[in-house]
Amino acid sequence: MVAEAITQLCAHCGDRCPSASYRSEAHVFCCSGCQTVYGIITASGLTDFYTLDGAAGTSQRRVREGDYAWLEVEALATTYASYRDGNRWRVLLELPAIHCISCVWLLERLPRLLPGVRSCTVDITRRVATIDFDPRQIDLRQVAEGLARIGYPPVLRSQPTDQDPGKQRGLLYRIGVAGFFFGNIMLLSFPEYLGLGGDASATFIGQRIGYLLLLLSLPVLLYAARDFFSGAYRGLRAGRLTIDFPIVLGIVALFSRSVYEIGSGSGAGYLDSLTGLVFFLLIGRWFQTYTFARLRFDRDYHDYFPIGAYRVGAGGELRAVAVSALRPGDRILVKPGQLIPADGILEADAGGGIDYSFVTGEAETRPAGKGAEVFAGGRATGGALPITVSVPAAESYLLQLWRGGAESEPEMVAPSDRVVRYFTLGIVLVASLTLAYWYPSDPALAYRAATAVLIIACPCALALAAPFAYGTLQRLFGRVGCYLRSAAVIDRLGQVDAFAFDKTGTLVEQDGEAALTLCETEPPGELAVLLAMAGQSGHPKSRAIVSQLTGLGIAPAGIGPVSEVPGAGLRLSYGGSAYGIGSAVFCGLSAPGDRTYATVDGREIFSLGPARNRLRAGVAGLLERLRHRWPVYLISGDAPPRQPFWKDHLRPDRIHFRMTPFGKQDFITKLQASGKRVLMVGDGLNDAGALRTAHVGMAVSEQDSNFSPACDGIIAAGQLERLPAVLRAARRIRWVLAVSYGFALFYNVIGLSFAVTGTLSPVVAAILMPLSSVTVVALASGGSWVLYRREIDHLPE
Amino acid sequence: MTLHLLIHYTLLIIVFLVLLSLLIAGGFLVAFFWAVGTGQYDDEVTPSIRILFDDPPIPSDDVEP
Repeated sequence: MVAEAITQLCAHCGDRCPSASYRSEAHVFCCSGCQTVYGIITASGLTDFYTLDGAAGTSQRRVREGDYAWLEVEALATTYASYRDGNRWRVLLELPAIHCISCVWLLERLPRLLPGVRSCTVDITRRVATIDFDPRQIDLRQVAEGLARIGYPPVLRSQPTDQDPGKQRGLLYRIGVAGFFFGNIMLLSFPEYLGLGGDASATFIGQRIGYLLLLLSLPVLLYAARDFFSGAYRGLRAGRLTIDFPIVLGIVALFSRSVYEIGSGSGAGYLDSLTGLVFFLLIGRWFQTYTFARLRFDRDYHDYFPIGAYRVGAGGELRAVAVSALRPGDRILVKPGQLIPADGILEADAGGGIDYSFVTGEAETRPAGKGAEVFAGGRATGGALPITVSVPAAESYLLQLWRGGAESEPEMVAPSDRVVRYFTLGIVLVASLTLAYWYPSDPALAYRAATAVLIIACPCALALAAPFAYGTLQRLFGRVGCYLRSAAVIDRLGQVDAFAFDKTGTLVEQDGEAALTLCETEPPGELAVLLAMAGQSGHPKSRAIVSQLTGLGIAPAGIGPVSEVPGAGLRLSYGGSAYGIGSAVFCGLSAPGDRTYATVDGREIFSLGPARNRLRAGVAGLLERLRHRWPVYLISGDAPPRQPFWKDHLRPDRIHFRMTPFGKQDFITKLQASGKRVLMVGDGLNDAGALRTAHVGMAVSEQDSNFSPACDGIIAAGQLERLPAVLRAARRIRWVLAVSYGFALFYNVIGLSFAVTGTLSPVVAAILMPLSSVTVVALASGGSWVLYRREIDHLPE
Repeated sequence: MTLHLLIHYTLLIIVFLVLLSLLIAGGFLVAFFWAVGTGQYDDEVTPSIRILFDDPPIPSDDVEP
């Protein structure tokens, strides 16, 4: 029993095998893809791949086949090279399948698999590999195809991957500078802290040290703190008081007061506090720029489209060109199975119709005759399609769904404008009152006290609380398979009060391949003919038949052209017999209608069941919990299913079937116009518009290496039931923030009581300011951690 | 006179030490800049995995172009 269970696991990817059709020696595979990859890897003596990490292989069943023929076009291939000369090319390729130690091990041994490759260096977090190869021995297409063969198909974006990995570097430099000068200024201020100097600032050495400190603080003021100045300026120009403004106020007060004290010899200045402040604030920034680097939240249609197309020249010859180079009026030829790259007019009948499932999610193909308009994103299912391009690829109709999805810089979390406004007004008010109170009796003390107010009230703690609270929660969410694009998404997640779910792929998952039932043990000759017939058609059912029959070890027979009746089936006369594949009506059988049949002279040979779907685990409970408090909608592109299952879980008037991608987007827009803040959960490209329009768009993903459209967050399919807990945590994070702000205020009151009486010494400032920052950071991170443990972590897996 | 000289030399020593410490610390700052600039902070995970593999990757004539 146990032994049987073990042998049923795929030797490559470790998934359960639906059948034992794919075997070699003692090993069983779940699909032919896995079997091929296993063969290549073991043949090269790289079997360690399977022993290094438990789940090394990636299932090949859902792998998108890439088309790398375009890479033969020199002009296209060169855009991917970060360096090239006569005998060396260096390319950076995105390999989303990278996920474990074994992947790193295998890919870095690529030179053994692909002669001509000199080296391969993997970055596991970003899922990219830098590959050096010798163009005289191997070309980019062969490299890409070789990678695809071992289960790591590269993703070629039409805008090649950002070659500069160091977007963070600028921030790191600034943190380094601030930390360096902060440390050295503190070191040189030590005599002051210990009270050794007496009035050391008045002595020769004290004064010189003071000038040195001033000099040392300049790089921090002019370089490290630059972002705060520019942030405050940008905010003011937009008519907003951002958190940068009171920070700049504090920095300016600290620096000018220090210049005055050191210059006049009246004190040691506050330069340690100044540099420390900048250092801590920069660390806060760095903490919240954390991203799940291996996930991409900004995919647009470019990432799914072929990068090249075949243009028909004046003499009828085909030339591969970049899709971006297509102009209206160009004639192109789209081969079967390829995506149509640009809107255009058909010049011949499309035999099998056009399959728009890639964009719209609809399973049925649409017939299209000569002169019909076809849209980019469709797939030719019959023969090759000659098309006259009418609109440049970038302006295609269906691709409007993604328009405007371009990502700007990730938003920063900051206290709300209202908090900043009150805070800034408050400290300016306190400073003015202090000045007014002391001025009549002691003008010098009045200035000292007023600047001390600005110094001590500097909103370091205020600025750090949100980044650390949200940033910590964002990382913790990642542990339960909920990855957010930026920490700021948590804020919006907490505001959500309506839900919209896509059905297929989101709430419902496909449960295995469609089952093929052989009617009788037929001579394989007939099956070989039927396999060859199905092989000529691009219809999803035909593809399922091909994969199942190939799995039974059948090879296609050599046959002539098959006649395809669009939307009905395939016919062929061969060896005096009439072969047919199609619906029961098409084959002349009186059998249930939802299967696909194959017949020879009216005899049923085999039938293919519909692909089975089932509700994902935990979805029923999820809907149950959500709908008690909020409106929950179902928007699906499919036809209504026969079983009225959804009526048990959702209000009938909130279930919408047959929604087009644009319909979904409009639906969300209308819902939001009525004052709702919608969380859209979807998976496919057909949800792209809705995901972008919604207040928060979450994509459901089966493997986190999967493709998903532009969105605010990605949630692992198995973790969908944690969504209510995630939302609860996102709402309650406000309490953590409130407590942190409360503590910051408490420290400020203590500091201000020193400041307004004119007794704030640099030492008190140097202790109080970092102390308040550290307390607030600890409270914010700790609070988020407690929240996570209470709301999310205790749930059973 | 001797006291004056003593103070003078003490101050010189202090100035010398302060400058020396800044110089040495500055070396570390430069080292940090070099490390960031050559991409050593770009990928913080993979090198920790790579070091655990037994057989070294095939040596290549890999030099920065």
